Amino acid sequence: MPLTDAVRRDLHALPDVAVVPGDPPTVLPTTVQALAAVLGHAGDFTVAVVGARTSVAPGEPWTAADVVIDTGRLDALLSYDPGELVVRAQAGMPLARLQRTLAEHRQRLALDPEHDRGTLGGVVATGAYGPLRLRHGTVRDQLLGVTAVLADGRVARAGGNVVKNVAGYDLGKLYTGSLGTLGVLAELAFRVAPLPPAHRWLAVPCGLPAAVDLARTVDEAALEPAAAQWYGPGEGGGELWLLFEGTPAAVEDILGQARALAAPFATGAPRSHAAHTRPVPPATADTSARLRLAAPLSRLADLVRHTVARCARLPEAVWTEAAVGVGVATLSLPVSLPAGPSSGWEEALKEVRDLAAPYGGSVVVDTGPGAARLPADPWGSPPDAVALMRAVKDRFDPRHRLNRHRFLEGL
Amino acid sequence: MTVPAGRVPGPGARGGEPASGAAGSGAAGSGGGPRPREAGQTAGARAVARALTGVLPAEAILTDPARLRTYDCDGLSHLRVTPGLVVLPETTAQVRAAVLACAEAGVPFVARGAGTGLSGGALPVADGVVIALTRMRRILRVDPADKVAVVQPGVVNTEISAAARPYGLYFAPDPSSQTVCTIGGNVAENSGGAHCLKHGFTVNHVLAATVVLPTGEVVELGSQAPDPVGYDLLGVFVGAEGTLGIATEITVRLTRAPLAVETLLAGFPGVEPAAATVSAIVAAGVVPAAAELMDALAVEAAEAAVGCGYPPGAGAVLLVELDGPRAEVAGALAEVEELCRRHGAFDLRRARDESERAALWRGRKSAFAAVGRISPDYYVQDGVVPRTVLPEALLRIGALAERAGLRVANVFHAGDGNLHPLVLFDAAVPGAAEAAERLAGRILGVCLDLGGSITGEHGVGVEKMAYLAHQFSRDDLDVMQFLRCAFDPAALANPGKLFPTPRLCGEPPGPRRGAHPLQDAGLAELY
Ligand SMILES: Cc1cc2nc3c(=O)[nH]c(=O)nc-3n(C[C@H](O)[C@H](O)[C@H](O)COP(=O)(O)OP(=O)(O)OC[C@H]3O[C@@H](n4cnc5c(N)ncnc54)[C@H](O)[C@@H]3O)c2cc1C
Ligand SMILES: Cc1cc2nc3c(=O)[nH]c(=O)nc-3n(C[C@H](O)[C@H](O)[C@H](O)COP(=O)(O)OP(=O)(O)OC[C@H]3O[C@@H](n4cnc5c(N)ncnc54)[C@H](O)[C@@H]3O)c2cc1C
Repeated sequence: MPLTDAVRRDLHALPDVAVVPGDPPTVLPTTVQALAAVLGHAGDFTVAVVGARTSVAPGEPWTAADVVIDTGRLDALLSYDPGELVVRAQAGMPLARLQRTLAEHRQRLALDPEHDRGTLGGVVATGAYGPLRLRHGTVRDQLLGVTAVLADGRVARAGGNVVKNVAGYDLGKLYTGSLGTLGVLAELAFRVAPLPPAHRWLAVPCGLPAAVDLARTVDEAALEPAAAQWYGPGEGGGELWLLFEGTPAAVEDILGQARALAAPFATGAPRSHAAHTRPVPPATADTSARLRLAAPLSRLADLVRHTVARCARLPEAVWTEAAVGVGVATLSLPVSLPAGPSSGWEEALKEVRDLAAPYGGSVVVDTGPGAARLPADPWGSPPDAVALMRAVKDRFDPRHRLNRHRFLEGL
Repeated sequence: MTVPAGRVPGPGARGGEPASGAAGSGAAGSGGGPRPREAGQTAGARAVARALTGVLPAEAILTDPARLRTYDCDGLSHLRVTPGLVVLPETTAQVRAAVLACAEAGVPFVARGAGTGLSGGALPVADGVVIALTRMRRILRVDPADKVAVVQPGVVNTEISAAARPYGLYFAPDPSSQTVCTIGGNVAENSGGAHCLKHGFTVNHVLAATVVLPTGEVVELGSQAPDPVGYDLLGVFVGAEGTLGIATEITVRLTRAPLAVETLLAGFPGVEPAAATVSAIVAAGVVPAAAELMDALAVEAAEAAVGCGYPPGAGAVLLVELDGPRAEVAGALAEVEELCRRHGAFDLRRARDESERAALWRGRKSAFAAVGRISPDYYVQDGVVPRTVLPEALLRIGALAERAGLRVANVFHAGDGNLHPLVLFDAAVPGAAEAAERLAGRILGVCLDLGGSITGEHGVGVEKMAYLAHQFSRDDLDVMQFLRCAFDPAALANPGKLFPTPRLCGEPPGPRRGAHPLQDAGLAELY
């Protein structure tokens, strides 16, 4: 249903809300109250929530909604006490900006997704992570408190601003990874970590199966790497990148031990370096489709191998990034992907999902050049608790007005 | 027609309305209308017992009043309610049968592990059913390659680590009660321990759970693999204090045992410099595995109880443990020692082996029980303040104690600002128990004042329901109850806990449905 002029006028008239006219119009609230007023408006309109728009989320495009809420101006730092290792900020703040503030105090949010242009709200809503996940976990492990605005404009907090707290339901967990389908994240509190004084990567040339074995050997030696990422085309030749962080002396010492452990697995000479950059796929990330694979540690290499074999016409054009100590991998596929119903995509995906299902694994298609190019179902068969998930959505957003159909099973 | 608002009987409430039932064994989210009033609540428990006869083995159904009474409390032992029925299932199917029988009869049920909870979470509902999971004690699988273990809910915390030890792995969450408490209880309370400062809480170490929902449905939450698709319902189930269903099989993550562990104990002239030391350690970028503090009274009690030989005359004792790769730990240890000295530590001891480590921990580990030696009764409080204001919190607690004429011993997880003030009293003195409870309550006020929380690990249970409304607004709590309504529309799972004001769930709303008739009639608000 097209947005009525009356609603448009009302939105324009709201205090602390900038409106960019268009179809749909984009509203940019500058306070939590203003955000609440937009959602609390009685009009019968659907809403899409966007942060920095660094991802092409599954489901309907933003433009299918009646109104787009952009969190870009809800970007204030709310409180930061370095001695407390806790920071609180509004959800529209870009991760990069927060990291710069923290770095001034030799601290960081130990979350390193690919785009630090993304907003904190976007990071939480997508559950985005990077290599540091091995040591520091995901958003789920670092989000302490959240203020969300629900579909009816109600402002509700959960969690808190202290690192230890079990009062009430921890709804931050529920919002994490929910793609903005349960509420709009307005304010977020995170635990932060000291920036380690030294860090070094060890890049070990080896194939993916060897990388899994080497990561396991390093783990058994309790060297506690901060990251263990395998990068390479397909699942053949590539490199395992091990990250060690700590005091300079300790890092050197541990790196030496890791180098020794790596020898039997390496197909070439390991290199060590301190750069913060990590290998990037040959194709530009923004234009390729991605498959996110998850499996128990011992199954990851096998799942990657099958997926590369089944889903890529040209395996050498696939770029794989596998967190071998975590059990997740991202496959970037080239844009020249075959499309259309006869492309065999659906069957290929179904096959690898069936392979992953018995051990609880998954294959999710999360970004791409446009929904039209991707298979209809980015998620695969619904999880066991899907009826319960629907019940949760129905309670939080009874009219299904937020990010309609963004999530699995039309949620 | 009766509007069953507030139909959930509070703990110990007599003759309340029977909870209205879920509509048979319907799917999650199917709400039931109010049921006809039954004769009395005992009838409900009896109906459940009848329904389970022949379904569960006879010895798994307890109806004998004397045996029922042994389930009348948890670690918050001044609150006691005898349940109407206790069942002791051994399988998920049996738990499901019990929950279904409760759902059909509209009778509330309370899951129970070892009953060590300190907030009354496992306190029975009068004439409701206790589902005790202590017979589900099997470790089903330990998988060193995937670093997971699959266990039944009645498995005791330390048994998991014992099973994992041959592979150099362990289960990280280590509540002080770990030799008796169950993993099911840990999951429900999101338990932490001394080492959660570095290693996290139960929620960071649970990958999946098989859950019997209050409707009787069995679902798998989470997955053995990372990043299961869909909402993270497991993340909210953990810590929900048994109000969202019963976990009957739990997959936990196992952690690699560290290569090196260093334990350091230091005496300080007072709590303030000791707390400042902890802040300085953290500010220096060191993340200790544990940082525990005891004040003079707590040390005195421990000394009297176990002769732990802590630094004589110490106004506070700080225990710091570091773990990790050898080189890392060695560096951190030197730094911590230096910071202790700089803050006036006068007796620095370092454990050279396992037995010395155990000796250093002995005073701390015995502290709660030890307080029983210097006082006939005590009340364990659990609150959190931002770490940097610990000294102020302790000053204010001291002042409150003085005004109340009571002594407070402080034992706490200093690294994360989690206080455990032990309020000492003598129940034989009229009014003393009430005064102690009042003081313990005021301490929570201090925690909230300083930006903290009313509970860091013991949970809300029945003990802190009223205080939850101080920490959260009505809207905050209502939204939490949206979740509760999605899992348990009939409010049968551990009702009367956690939420100060239970809400009517109403028909599950949905995009296609109209307003609830009660809502239309202006008789109820929908939540
Ligand atoms: C399913 C998925 C998983 C991803 N995982 C990763 C990953 O693991 N690592 C990585 O590097 N990148 C990942 N990305 C890519 C993405 O660029 C990052 O997640 C980025 O952090 C998103 O931030 P953004 O501000 O650009 O969000 P946007 O691209 O603007 O939005 C992304 C999603 O988040 C929702 N959202 C944004 N802000 C809010 C808010 N305040 N409240 C509620 N919902 C909000 C949007 O509605 C949308 O559904 C993922 C993307 C998707 C879609
Ligand atoms: C001396 C002592 C020291 C303690 N130290 C700590 C500590 O350091 N850290 C800490 O966090 N806690 C501590 N506790 C509190 C307590 O031990 C923990 O909360 C523990 O996790 C409770 O486990 P339990 O098996 O005894 O559970 P119970 O007390 O039986 O139950 C606790 C709650 O869990 C629910 N429940 C139990 N099993 C299940 C299940 N399978 N599914 C769903 N819900 C279930 C119950 O309904 C109840 O609400 C301590 C307690 C004592 C007595």
